[in-house]
Amino acid sequence: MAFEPLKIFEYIGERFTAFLEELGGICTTFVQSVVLLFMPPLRLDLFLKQMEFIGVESSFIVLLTGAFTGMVFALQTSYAFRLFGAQNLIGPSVALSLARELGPVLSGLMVTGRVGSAMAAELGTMKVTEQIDALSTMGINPVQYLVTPRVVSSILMLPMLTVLFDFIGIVGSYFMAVYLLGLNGERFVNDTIYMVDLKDVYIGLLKAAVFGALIAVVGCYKGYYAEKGAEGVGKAATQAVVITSVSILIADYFLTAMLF
Amino acid sequence: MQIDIRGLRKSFGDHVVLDGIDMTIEDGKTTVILGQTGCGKSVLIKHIIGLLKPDAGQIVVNGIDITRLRRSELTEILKNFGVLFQSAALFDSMTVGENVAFPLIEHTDLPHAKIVGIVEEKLAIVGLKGVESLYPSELSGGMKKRVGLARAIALEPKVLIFDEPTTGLDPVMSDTIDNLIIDTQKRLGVTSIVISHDIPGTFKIAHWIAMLYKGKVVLYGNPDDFKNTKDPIVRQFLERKAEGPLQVEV
Ligand SMILES: Nc1ncnc2c1ncn2[C@@H]1O[C@H](COP(=O)(O)OP(=O)(O)OP(=O)(O)O)[C@@H](O)[C@H]1O
Ligand SMILES: [Mg+2]
Repeated sequence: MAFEPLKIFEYIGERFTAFLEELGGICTTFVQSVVLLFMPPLRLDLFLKQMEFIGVESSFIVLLTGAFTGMVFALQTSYAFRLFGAQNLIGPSVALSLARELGPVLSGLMVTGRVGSAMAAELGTMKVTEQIDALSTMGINPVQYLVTPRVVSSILMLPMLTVLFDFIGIVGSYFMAVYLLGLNGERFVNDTIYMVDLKDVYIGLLKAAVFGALIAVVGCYKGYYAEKGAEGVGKAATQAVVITSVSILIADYFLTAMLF
Repeated sequence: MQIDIRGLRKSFGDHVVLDGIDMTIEDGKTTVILGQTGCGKSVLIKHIIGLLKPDAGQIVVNGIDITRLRRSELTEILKNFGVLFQSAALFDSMTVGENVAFPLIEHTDLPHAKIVGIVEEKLAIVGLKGVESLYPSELSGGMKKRVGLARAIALEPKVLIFDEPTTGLDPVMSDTIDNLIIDTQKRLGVTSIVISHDIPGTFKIAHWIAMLYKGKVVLYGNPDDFKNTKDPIVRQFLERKAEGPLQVEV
Protein backbone atom coordinates (compact mmCIF):
# COMPACT_ATOMS: atom_id res chain seq x y z
CA MET A 1 0.00 0.00 0.00
CA ALA A 2 1.31 3.43 -0.93
CA PHE A 3 2.05 5.94 1.78
CA GLU A 4 -0.85 8.35 1.96
CA PRO A 5 -0.22 11.14 4.40
CA LEU A 6 -3.80 12.38 4.24
CA LYS A 7 -4.97 9.04 5.61
CA ILE A 8 -3.53 10.07 8.95
CA PHE A 9 -6.00 12.92 9.22
CA GLU A 10 -8.80 10.62 8.19
CA TYR A 11 -7.76 8.19 10.90
CA ILE A 12 -7.49 10.88 13.57
CA GLY A 13 -10.85 12.28 12.52
CA GLU A 14 -12.50 8.88 12.72
CA ARG A 15 -11.08 8.17 16.15
CA PHE A 16 -12.12 11.60 17.36
CA THR A 17 -15.72 11.23 16.20
CA ALA A 18 -15.86 7.76 17.72
CA PHE A 19 -14.60 9.24 20.98
CA LEU A 20 -17.19 12.01 20.95
CA GLU A 21 -19.93 9.52 20.12
CA GLU A 22 -18.95 7.38 23.08
CA LEU A 23 -18.72 10.36 25.40
CA GLY A 24 -22.16 11.47 24.26
CA GLY A 25 -23.55 7.98 24.78
CA ILE A 26 -22.13 7.76 28.29
CA CYS A 27 -23.52 11.19 29.24
CA THR A 28 -26.94 10.33 27.81
CA THR A 29 -27.01 7.05 29.71
CA PHE A 30 -26.20 8.90 32.93
CA VAL A 31 -28.89 11.54 32.43
CA GLN A 32 -31.48 8.93 31.43
CA SER A 33 -30.76 6.75 34.43
CA VAL A 34 -31.09 9.69 36.83
CA VAL A 35 -34.28 11.01 35.24
CA LEU A 36 -35.83 7.54 35.35
CA LEU A 37 -35.15 7.35 39.08
CA PHE A 38 -37.96 9.84 39.57
CA MET A 39 -40.49 8.02 37.42
CA PRO A 40 -42.62 5.20 38.78
CA PRO A 41 -42.29 2.39 39.55
CA LEU A 42 -39.54 2.43 42.15
CA ARG A 43 -38.26 -1.13 42.52
CA LEU A 44 -36.57 -0.94 45.89
CA ASP A 45 -35.39 -4.55 45.93
CA LEU A 46 -33.25 -3.94 42.83
CA PHE A 47 -31.51 -1.05 44.59
CA LEU A 48 -30.88 -3.09 47.73
CA LYS A 49 -29.46 -5.94 45.70
CA GLN A 50 -27.05 -3.62 43.93
CA MET A 51 -26.03 -1.93 47.17
CA GLU A 52 -25.22 -5.30 48.61
CA PHE A 53 -23.18 -6.24 45.57
CA ILE A 54 -21.33 -2.94 45.21
CA GLY A 55 -21.01 -2.01 48.88
CA VAL A 56 -21.16 -4.96 51.22
CA GLU A 57 -19.37 -7.39 48.95
CA SER A 58 -16.58 -4.92 48.16
CA SER A 59 -15.88 -4.13 51.80
CA PHE A 60 -13.35 -6.91 52.25
CA ILE A 61 -11.03 -5.91 49.43
CA VAL A 62 -11.40 -2.28 50.42
CA LEU A 63 -10.43 -3.08 54.02
CA LEU A 64 -7.50 -5.15 52.87
CA THR A 65 -6.11 -2.57 50.47
CA GLY A 66 -6.85 0.24 52.93
CA ALA A 67 -4.93 -1.39 55.77
CA PHE A 68 -1.87 -2.06 53.65
CA THR A 69 -1.94 1.37 52.04
CA GLY A 70 -1.97 3.01 55.47
CA MET A 71 0.83 0.81 56.70
CA VAL A 72 3.14 1.27 53.75
CA PHE A 73 2.44 4.96 53.70
CA ALA A 74 3.43 5.33 57.34
CA LEU A 75 6.61 3.40 56.65
CA GLN A 76 7.54 5.46 53.61
CA THR A 77 6.89 8.83 55.18
CA SER A 78 8.81 7.84 58.27
CA TYR A 79 12.02 7.59 56.21
CA ALA A 80 11.56 11.09 54.90
CA PHE A 81 10.39 12.72 58.12
CA ARG A 82 13.16 11.12 60.16
CA LEU A 83 15.68 13.15 58.14
CA PHE A 84 14.50 16.34 59.75
CA GLY A 85 13.07 14.93 62.93
CA ALA A 86 9.43 15.52 62.08
CA GLN A 87 8.14 12.04 62.73
CA ASN A 88 5.12 13.42 64.54
CA LEU A 89 3.84 14.46 61.13
CA ILE A 90 3.43 10.85 59.99
CA GLY A 91 -0.10 10.58 61.36
CA PRO A 92 -1.46 13.80 59.90
CA SER A 93 0.19 13.34 56.52
CA VAL A 94 -1.09 9.80 56.15
CA ALA A 95 -4.59 10.84 57.23
CA LEU A 96 -4.66 13.83 54.90
CA SER A 97 -3.48 11.87 51.89
CA LEU A 98 -5.95 9.12 52.60
CA ALA A 99 -8.91 11.42 53.06
CA ARG A 100 -8.15 13.67 50.09
CA GLU A 101 -6.66 11.32 47.53
CA LEU A 102 -5.85 7.73 48.29
CA GLY A 103 -9.12 6.76 49.93
CA PRO A 104 -11.44 7.73 47.10
CA VAL A 105 -9.04 6.94 44.25
CA LEU A 106 -7.88 3.55 45.44
CA SER A 107 -11.36 2.44 46.54
CA GLY A 108 -12.61 3.63 43.17
CA LEU A 109 -10.00 1.63 41.30
CA MET A 110 -10.58 -1.49 43.39
CA VAL A 111 -14.33 -1.30 42.86
CA THR A 112 -13.82 -0.66 39.15
CA GLY A 113 -11.98 -3.95 38.83
CA ARG A 114 -14.62 -5.83 40.73
CA VAL A 115 -17.89 -4.13 39.96
CA GLY A 116 -17.39 -2.19 36.71
CA SER A 117 -16.29 -5.27 34.82
CA ALA A 118 -19.08 -7.37 36.32
CA MET A 119 -21.70 -4.82 35.28
CA ALA A 120 -20.39 -4.67 31.73
CA ALA A 121 -20.29 -8.46 31.51
CA GLU A 122 -23.74 -8.92 33.01
CA LEU A 123 -25.51 -6.34 30.87
CA GLY A 124 -23.50 -7.43 27.84
CA THR A 125 -24.66 -11.02 28.29
CA MET A 126 -28.23 -9.85 28.76
CA LYS A 127 -27.92 -7.85 25.57
CA VAL A 128 -26.55 -10.62 23.37
CA THR A 129 -28.97 -13.23 24.71
CA GLU A 130 -31.95 -10.95 23.96
CA GLN A 131 -32.84 -10.55 27.66
CA ILE A 132 -32.81 -6.77 27.29
CA ASP A 133 -35.09 -7.09 24.25
CA ALA A 134 -37.37 -9.32 26.31
CA LEU A 135 -37.56 -6.65 29.02
CA SER A 136 -38.62 -3.97 26.57
CA THR A 137 -41.21 -6.17 24.91
CA MET A 138 -42.69 -6.80 28.35
CA GLY A 139 -43.19 -3.06 28.56
CA ILE A 140 -40.33 -2.43 30.95
CA ASN A 141 -37.80 0.31 30.38
CA PRO A 142 -34.47 -1.56 30.47
CA VAL A 143 -32.52 1.54 31.46
CA GLN A 144 -34.81 2.12 34.41
CA TYR A 145 -34.76 -1.54 35.37
CA LEU A 146 -31.05 -2.23 34.92
CA VAL A 147 -29.02 0.98 34.81
CA THR A 148 -30.73 3.25 37.35
CA PRO A 149 -30.33 0.92 40.36
CA ARG A 150 -26.69 0.33 39.51
CA VAL A 151 -25.82 3.99 39.06
CA VAL A 152 -27.66 5.18 42.16
CA SER A 153 -26.32 2.39 44.38
CA SER A 154 -22.81 2.98 43.15
CA ILE A 155 -23.02 6.72 43.86
CA LEU A 156 -24.22 5.93 47.40
CA MET A 157 -21.86 3.07 48.19
CA LEU A 158 -18.53 4.46 46.99
CA PRO A 159 -18.39 7.19 49.70
CA MET A 160 -19.16 4.56 52.33
CA LEU A 161 -16.40 2.31 51.08
CA THR A 162 -14.09 5.31 51.11
CA VAL A 163 -14.89 5.96 54.77
CA LEU A 164 -13.94 2.34 55.46
CA PHE A 165 -10.75 2.73 53.48
CA ASP A 166 -9.77 5.96 55.27
CA PHE A 167 -10.51 4.53 58.69
CA ILE A 168 -8.70 1.24 58.29
CA GLY A 169 -5.79 3.02 56.58
CA ILE A 170 -5.35 5.34 59.55
CA VAL A 171 -5.60 2.40 61.94
CA GLY A 172 -2.93 0.63 59.89
CA SER A 173 -0.61 3.60 59.98
CA TYR A 174 -1.19 3.96 63.73
CA PHE A 175 -0.03 0.43 64.36
CA MET A 176 2.95 0.95 62.11
CA ALA A 177 3.91 4.20 63.79
CA VAL A 178 3.31 3.17 67.38
CA TYR A 179 4.38 -0.47 67.46
CA LEU A 180 7.07 -0.56 64.81
CA LEU A 181 8.48 2.94 64.76
CA GLY A 182 7.96 3.56 68.47
CA LEU A 183 6.07 6.86 68.30
CA ASN A 184 3.75 8.09 71.02
CA GLY A 185 0.24 6.85 70.30
CA GLU A 186 -1.61 9.63 72.05
CA ARG A 187 0.34 12.30 70.22
CA PHE A 188 -0.27 10.53 66.92
CA VAL A 189 -3.99 10.70 67.47
CA ASN A 190 -4.05 14.27 68.74
CA ASP A 191 -1.86 15.60 65.91
CA THR A 192 -3.97 13.83 63.35
CA ILE A 193 -7.23 15.20 64.70
CA TYR A 194 -5.72 18.67 64.94
CA MET A 195 -4.36 18.75 61.38
CA VAL A 196 -7.14 17.09 59.43
CA ASP A 197 -10.21 19.15 58.66
CA LEU A 198 -13.63 17.64 58.19
CA LYS A 199 -13.65 19.51 54.88
CA ASP A 200 -10.83 17.27 53.68
CA VAL A 201 -12.95 14.24 54.42
CA TYR A 202 -16.06 15.69 52.78
CA ILE A 203 -14.28 16.55 49.58
CA GLY A 204 -12.83 13.06 49.49
CA LEU A 205 -16.32 11.63 49.81
CA LEU A 206 -17.62 13.90 47.06
CA LYS A 207 -14.86 12.59 44.82
CA ALA A 208 -15.86 9.05 45.74
CA ALA A 209 -19.46 9.72 44.71
CA VAL A 210 -18.29 11.01 41.33
CA PHE A 211 -16.12 7.92 40.87
CA GLY A 212 -19.09 5.77 41.84
CA ALA A 213 -21.14 7.35 39.07
CA LEU A 214 -18.31 6.81 36.58
CA ILE A 215 -17.91 3.14 37.47
CA ALA A 216 -21.57 2.28 37.05
CA VAL A 217 -22.32 4.46 34.03
CA VAL A 218 -19.34 3.28 32.01
CA GLY A 219 -19.87 -0.36 33.02
CA CYS A 220 -23.55 -0.26 32.09
CA TYR A 221 -22.97 1.69 28.88
CA LYS A 222 -20.31 -0.73 27.68
CA GLY A 223 -22.49 -3.73 28.50
CA TYR A 224 -25.65 -2.23 27.04
CA TYR A 225 -23.94 -1.60 23.70
CA ALA A 226 -21.85 -4.77 23.64
CA GLU A 227 -21.37 -6.42 20.28
CA LYS A 228 -22.73 -9.87 19.57
CA GLY A 229 -21.13 -12.95 21.03
CA ALA A 230 -18.88 -13.91 23.90
CA GLU A 231 -16.05 -11.89 22.40
CA GLY A 232 -18.14 -8.72 22.43
CA VAL A 233 -19.00 -9.24 26.08
CA GLY A 234 -15.37 -9.82 27.03
CA LYS A 235 -14.32 -6.71 25.15
CA ALA A 236 -17.02 -4.68 26.87
CA ALA A 237 -15.78 -5.77 30.31
CA THR A 238 -12.14 -4.99 29.53
CA GLN A 239 -12.95 -1.63 28.00
CA ALA A 240 -15.15 -0.71 30.94
CA VAL A 241 -12.27 -1.26 33.34
CA VAL A 242 -9.74 0.64 31.24
CA ILE A 243 -12.01 3.59 30.49
CA THR A 244 -13.23 3.87 34.08
CA SER A 245 -9.74 3.66 35.61
CA VAL A 246 -8.40 6.35 33.30
CA SER A 247 -11.45 8.57 33.84
CA ILE A 248 -11.14 8.23 37.60
CA LEU A 249 -7.58 9.52 37.50
CA ILE A 250 -8.45 12.35 35.13
CA ALA A 251 -11.56 13.30 37.09
CA ASP A 252 -9.50 13.20 40.27
CA TYR A 253 -7.11 15.80 38.88
CA PHE A 254 -9.89 18.19 37.93
CA LEU A 255 -11.82 17.70 41.14
CA THR A 256 -8.68 18.36 43.20
CA ALA A 257 -7.89 21.47 41.18
CA MET A 258 -11.44 22.76 41.54
CA LEU A 259 -12.28 21.87 45.13
CA PHE A 260 -9.18 22.47 47.23
CA MET B 1 -55.90 -7.66 17.01
CA GLN B 2 -55.30 -7.42 13.30
CA ILE B 3 -51.78 -6.57 12.18
CA ASP B 4 -51.14 -5.11 8.73
CA ILE B 5 -47.63 -5.08 7.42
CA ARG B 6 -47.23 -2.65 4.53
CA GLY B 7 -44.19 -2.24 2.31
CA LEU B 8 -41.76 -3.11 5.09
CA ARG B 9 -38.10 -2.65 4.18
CA LYS B 10 -35.00 -3.15 6.28
CA SER B 11 -31.32 -3.31 5.47
CA PHE B 12 -28.29 -3.74 7.70
CA GLY B 13 -25.53 -1.82 5.94
CA ASP B 14 -25.86 -2.89 2.31
CA HIS B 15 -27.36 -6.25 3.28
CA VAL B 16 -31.02 -6.05 2.29
CA VAL B 17 -33.03 -8.30 4.61
CA LEU B 18 -36.64 -7.23 4.10
CA ASP B 19 -37.39 -5.88 0.64
CA GLY B 20 -41.01 -4.82 0.73
CA ILE B 21 -43.09 -7.19 2.88
CA ASP B 22 -46.86 -6.87 2.54
CA MET B 23 -49.18 -9.09 4.50
CA THR B 24 -52.04 -9.15 6.95
CA ILE B 25 -52.05 -11.13 10.18
CA GLU B 26 -55.70 -11.97 10.67
CA ASP B 27 -57.29 -11.33 14.05
CA GLY B 28 -57.89 -14.44 16.13
CA LYS B 29 -56.09 -16.77 13.73
CA THR B 30 -52.72 -18.49 13.61
CA THR B 31 -50.30 -17.32 10.94
CA VAL B 32 -47.12 -19.30 10.37
CA ILE B 33 -44.08 -17.72 8.75
CA LEU B 34 -41.80 -20.05 6.84
CA GLY B 35 -38.51 -19.42 5.13
CA GLN B 36 -34.88 -20.37 4.87
CA THR B 37 -32.58 -19.77 7.76
CA GLY B 38 -31.29 -16.20 7.68
CA CYS B 39 -34.08 -14.96 5.41
CA GLY B 40 -35.31 -12.42 7.94
CA LYS B 41 -38.13 -14.10 9.86
CA SER B 42 -36.83 -13.03 13.25
CA VAL B 43 -36.07 -9.57 11.88
CA LEU B 44 -39.68 -9.33 10.70
CA ILE B 45 -41.16 -10.11 14.11
CA LYS B 46 -38.71 -7.78 15.83
CA HIS B 47 -40.31 -5.03 13.76
CA ILE B 48 -43.77 -6.12 14.91
CA ILE B 49 -42.74 -5.76 18.55
CA GLY B 50 -40.97 -2.46 17.94
CA LEU B 51 -37.43 -3.63 18.66
CA LEU B 52 -36.28 -2.67 15.18
CA LYS B 53 -37.29 0.39 13.20
CA PRO B 54 -37.92 -0.16 9.48
CA ASP B 55 -36.18 1.82 6.75
CA ALA B 56 -39.58 2.17 5.06
CA GLY B 57 -43.10 0.85 5.46
CA GLN B 58 -45.68 0.54 8.20
CA ILE B 59 -46.96 -1.93 10.74
CA VAL B 60 -50.54 -1.15 11.62
CA VAL B 61 -51.98 -2.67 14.79
CA ASN B 62 -55.64 -1.85 15.47
CA GLY B 63 -55.40 1.08 13.07
CA ILE B 64 -52.23 2.53 14.66
CA ASP B 65 -48.88 2.59 12.88
CA ILE B 66 -46.60 1.31 15.61
CA THR B 67 -43.38 2.16 13.79
CA ARG B 68 -43.99 5.82 14.54
CA LEU B 69 -45.04 5.54 18.17
CA ARG B 70 -43.22 6.96 21.13
CA ARG B 71 -41.82 4.48 23.66
CA SER B 72 -44.58 5.00 26.20
CA GLU B 73 -47.33 4.54 23.60
CA LEU B 74 -45.66 1.44 22.23
CA THR B 75 -45.42 0.04 25.76
CA GLU B 76 -49.20 0.23 26.11
CA ILE B 77 -49.67 -1.82 22.93
CA LEU B 78 -46.96 -4.29 23.90
CA LYS B 79 -48.87 -5.17 27.07
CA ASN B 80 -51.19 -7.16 24.78
CA PHE B 81 -48.30 -9.16 23.33
CA GLY B 82 -46.66 -12.32 24.60
CA VAL B 83 -43.35 -13.06 22.94
CA LEU B 84 -41.19 -16.17 22.86
CA PHE B 85 -37.74 -15.29 21.54
CA GLN B 86 -35.78 -17.71 19.40
CA SER B 87 -33.18 -17.97 22.18
CA ALA B 88 -35.95 -18.09 24.85
CA ALA B 89 -34.29 -15.01 26.45
CA LEU B 90 -34.93 -16.16 30.01
CA PHE B 91 -33.57 -13.84 32.69
CA ASP B 92 -30.62 -15.83 33.94
CA SER B 93 -30.43 -14.02 37.28
CA MET B 94 -33.93 -15.29 38.14
CA THR B 95 -35.29 -18.76 38.80
CA VAL B 96 -37.73 -20.41 36.42
CA GLY B 97 -40.60 -19.51 38.73
CA GLU B 98 -39.53 -15.87 38.92
CA ASN B 99 -39.20 -15.75 35.15
CA VAL B 100 -42.75 -16.91 34.56
CA ALA B 101 -44.06 -14.73 37.40
CA PHE B 102 -42.23 -11.65 36.11
CA PRO B 103 -44.89 -10.29 33.73
CA LEU B 104 -47.58 -11.01 36.33
CA ILE B 105 -45.72 -9.13 39.05
CA GLU B 106 -44.96 -6.21 36.76
CA HIS B 107 -48.36 -5.79 35.18
CA THR B 108 -50.97 -7.07 37.63
CA ASP B 109 -51.85 -6.55 41.29
CA LEU B 110 -52.51 -10.23 41.91
CA PRO B 111 -51.64 -11.53 45.39
CA HIS B 112 -48.53 -13.65 45.74
CA ALA B 113 -50.40 -16.92 46.29
CA LYS B 114 -52.43 -16.41 43.13
CA ILE B 115 -49.29 -15.74 41.09
CA VAL B 116 -47.66 -18.91 42.40
CA GLY B 117 -50.74 -20.80 41.28
CA ILE B 118 -50.70 -19.30 37.77
CA VAL B 119 -46.98 -20.02 37.40
CA GLU B 120 -47.54 -23.64 38.34
CA GLU B 121 -50.46 -23.91 35.94
CA LYS B 122 -48.60 -22.36 32.99
CA LEU B 123 -45.57 -24.56 33.58
CA ALA B 124 -47.81 -27.62 33.71
CA ILE B 125 -49.33 -26.64 30.35
CA VAL B 126 -45.89 -26.81 28.73
CA GLY B 127 -45.16 -30.11 30.48
CA LEU B 128 -42.91 -28.89 33.26
CA LYS B 129 -43.41 -29.71 36.93
CA GLY B 130 -41.42 -28.79 40.01
CA VAL B 131 -38.79 -26.78 38.17
CA GLU B 132 -39.74 -23.41 39.70
CA SER B 133 -36.62 -23.09 41.82
CA LEU B 134 -34.12 -24.05 39.12
CA TYR B 135 -32.07 -21.44 37.29
CA PRO B 136 -32.12 -21.23 33.48
CA SER B 137 -28.49 -22.40 33.35
CA GLU B 138 -29.64 -25.69 34.89
CA LEU B 139 -32.18 -26.39 32.11
CA SER B 140 -31.82 -28.18 28.79
CA GLY B 141 -32.38 -26.22 25.59
CA GLY B 142 -35.86 -27.61 25.09
CA MET B 143 -36.81 -26.88 28.69
CA LYS B 144 -35.71 -23.27 28.31
CA LYS B 145 -37.92 -22.95 25.23
CA ARG B 146 -40.90 -24.24 27.17
CA VAL B 147 -40.26 -21.96 30.14
CA GLY B 148 -40.11 -19.10 27.60
CA LEU B 149 -43.47 -20.28 26.28
CA ALA B 150 -44.96 -20.38 29.76
CA ARG B 151 -43.70 -16.84 30.38
CA ALA B 152 -45.15 -15.64 27.06
CA ILE B 153 -48.62 -16.96 27.87
CA ALA B 154 -48.58 -16.01 31.57
CA LEU B 155 -50.61 -12.82 31.08
CA GLU B 156 -52.95 -14.49 28.57
CA PRO B 157 -52.12 -11.84 25.96
CA LYS B 158 -54.22 -11.09 22.88
CA VAL B 159 -51.31 -11.59 20.51
CA LEU B 160 -48.79 -14.41 20.80
CA ILE B 161 -45.53 -14.29 18.88
CA PHE B 162 -43.49 -17.47 18.91
CA ASP B 163 -40.07 -17.59 17.25
CA GLU B 164 -39.49 -21.28 16.56
CA PRO B 165 -41.39 -22.74 19.52
CA THR B 166 -40.70 -26.34 18.55
CA THR B 167 -37.16 -26.17 17.21
CA GLY B 168 -34.97 -28.34 19.44
CA LEU B 169 -37.87 -30.30 20.92
CA ASP B 170 -38.47 -34.00 20.37
CA PRO B 171 -41.41 -34.94 18.07
CA VAL B 172 -43.77 -35.78 20.90
CA MET B 173 -43.04 -32.57 22.77
CA SER B 174 -43.33 -30.62 19.50
CA ASP B 175 -46.81 -32.00 19.00
CA THR B 176 -47.72 -31.10 22.57
CA ILE B 177 -46.65 -27.51 21.91
CA ASP B 178 -48.58 -27.48 18.62
CA ASN B 179 -51.66 -28.60 20.53
CA LEU B 180 -51.04 -25.88 23.09
CA ILE B 181 -50.99 -23.26 20.31
CA ILE B 182 -54.20 -24.62 18.76
CA ASP B 183 -55.83 -24.83 22.16
CA THR B 184 -54.97 -21.27 23.25
CA GLN B 185 -56.14 -19.97 19.91
CA LYS B 186 -59.50 -21.75 20.25
CA ARG B 187 -59.99 -21.06 23.94
CA LEU B 188 -58.95 -17.41 24.08
CA GLY B 189 -59.23 -16.43 20.43
CA VAL B 190 -55.68 -15.14 20.38
CA THR B 191 -53.89 -13.94 17.29
CA SER B 192 -50.74 -16.02 16.90
CA ILE B 193 -47.70 -15.49 14.76
CA VAL B 194 -45.48 -18.53 14.68
CA ILE B 195 -42.13 -18.88 13.00
CA SER B 196 -41.41 -22.49 12.24
CA HIS B 197 -39.17 -24.90 10.38
CA ASP B 198 -41.49 -27.81 11.13
CA ILE B 199 -43.61 -28.45 8.02
CA PRO B 200 -46.05 -31.06 9.39
CA GLY B 201 -46.53 -28.93 12.50
CA THR B 202 -47.17 -25.90 10.32
CA PHE B 203 -49.95 -27.64 8.41
CA LYS B 204 -51.46 -28.70 11.70
CA ILE B 205 -51.61 -25.31 13.44
CA ALA B 206 -51.80 -22.74 10.63
CA HIS B 207 -54.84 -20.90 9.35
CA TRP B 208 -52.55 -18.83 7.17
CA ILE B 209 -49.02 -19.42 5.99
CA ALA B 210 -46.56 -16.91 4.58
CA MET B 211 -43.29 -17.92 3.02
CA LEU B 212 -40.44 -15.42 2.83
CA TYR B 213 -37.75 -15.59 0.19
CA LYS B 214 -35.21 -12.93 -0.75
CA GLY B 215 -36.88 -10.31 1.39
CA LYS B 216 -40.36 -10.78 -0.06
CA VAL B 217 -43.42 -12.91 0.59
CA VAL B 218 -43.34 -15.53 -2.21
CA LEU B 219 -46.58 -17.18 -1.21
CA TYR B 220 -49.33 -16.31 1.23
CA GLY B 221 -52.31 -18.59 1.64
CA ASN B 222 -54.02 -21.27 3.68
CA PRO B 223 -52.50 -24.74 4.15
CA ASP B 224 -54.38 -26.07 1.09
CA ASP B 225 -52.92 -23.33 -1.09
CA PHE B 226 -49.49 -24.46 0.04
CA LYS B 227 -50.19 -28.14 -0.51
CA ASN B 228 -51.44 -27.47 -4.05
CA THR B 229 -49.02 -24.76 -5.11
CA LYS B 230 -47.04 -25.05 -8.33
CA ASP B 231 -44.49 -22.46 -7.23
CA PRO B 232 -41.16 -24.29 -7.64
CA ILE B 233 -39.50 -22.43 -4.77
CA VAL B 234 -42.25 -23.28 -2.31
CA ARG B 235 -42.43 -26.87 -3.56
CA GLN B 236 -38.70 -27.37 -3.09
CA PHE B 237 -38.88 -25.93 0.43
CA LEU B 238 -41.84 -28.07 1.48
CA GLU B 239 -40.31 -31.21 0.02
CA ARG B 240 -36.98 -30.36 1.70
CA LYS B 241 -34.80 -30.86 -1.39
CA ALA B 242 -31.33 -29.41 -1.82
CA GLU B 243 -31.70 -29.17 -5.60
CA GLY B 244 -33.95 -26.57 -7.19
CA PRO B 245 -34.41 -22.88 -7.86
CA LEU B 246 -34.17 -21.96 -4.18
CA GLN B 247 -30.57 -21.02 -3.54
CA VAL B 248 -28.63 -21.52 -0.38
CA GLU B 249 -26.72 -18.33 0.28
CA VAL B 250 -23.12 -18.83 1.23
N1 LIG C 1 -28.95 -6.60 14.42
C1 LIG C 1 -28.52 -7.04 13.23
N2 LIG C 1 -27.47 -6.44 12.63
C2 LIG C 1 -27.04 -6.85 11.43
N3 LIG C 1 -27.57 -7.86 10.75
C3 LIG C 1 -28.60 -8.51 11.29
C4 LIG C 1 -29.13 -8.14 12.57
N4 LIG C 1 -30.16 -8.96 12.85
C5 LIG C 1 -30.27 -9.80 11.81
N5 LIG C 1 -29.34 -9.54 10.87
C6 LIG C 1 -29.19 -10.24 9.59
O1 LIG C 1 -30.46 -10.35 9.03
C7 LIG C 1 -30.61 -11.61 8.38
C8 LIG C 1 -31.88 -12.28 8.83
O2 LIG C 1 -31.76 -12.67 10.18
P1 LIG C 1 -32.93 -13.41 10.97
O3 LIG C 1 -32.44 -13.60 12.35
O4 LIG C 1 -34.19 -12.67 10.77
O5 LIG C 1 -33.02 -14.80 10.23
P2 LIG C 1 -34.12 -15.92 10.42
O6 LIG C 1 -34.96 -15.94 9.22
O7 LIG C 1 -34.81 -15.73 11.72
O8 LIG C 1 -33.22 -17.22 10.45
P3 LIG C 1 -33.34 -18.52 11.40
O9 LIG C 1 -34.37 -19.39 10.79
O10 LIG C 1 -32.00 -19.13 11.31
O11 LIG C 1 -33.68 -18.04 12.75
C9 LIG C 1 -29.35 -12.40 8.67
O12 LIG C 1 -28.56 -12.41 7.52
C10 LIG C 1 -28.67 -11.64 9.78
O13 LIG C 1 -27.29 -11.69 9.58
MG1 LIG D 1 -34.77 -16.57 13.49
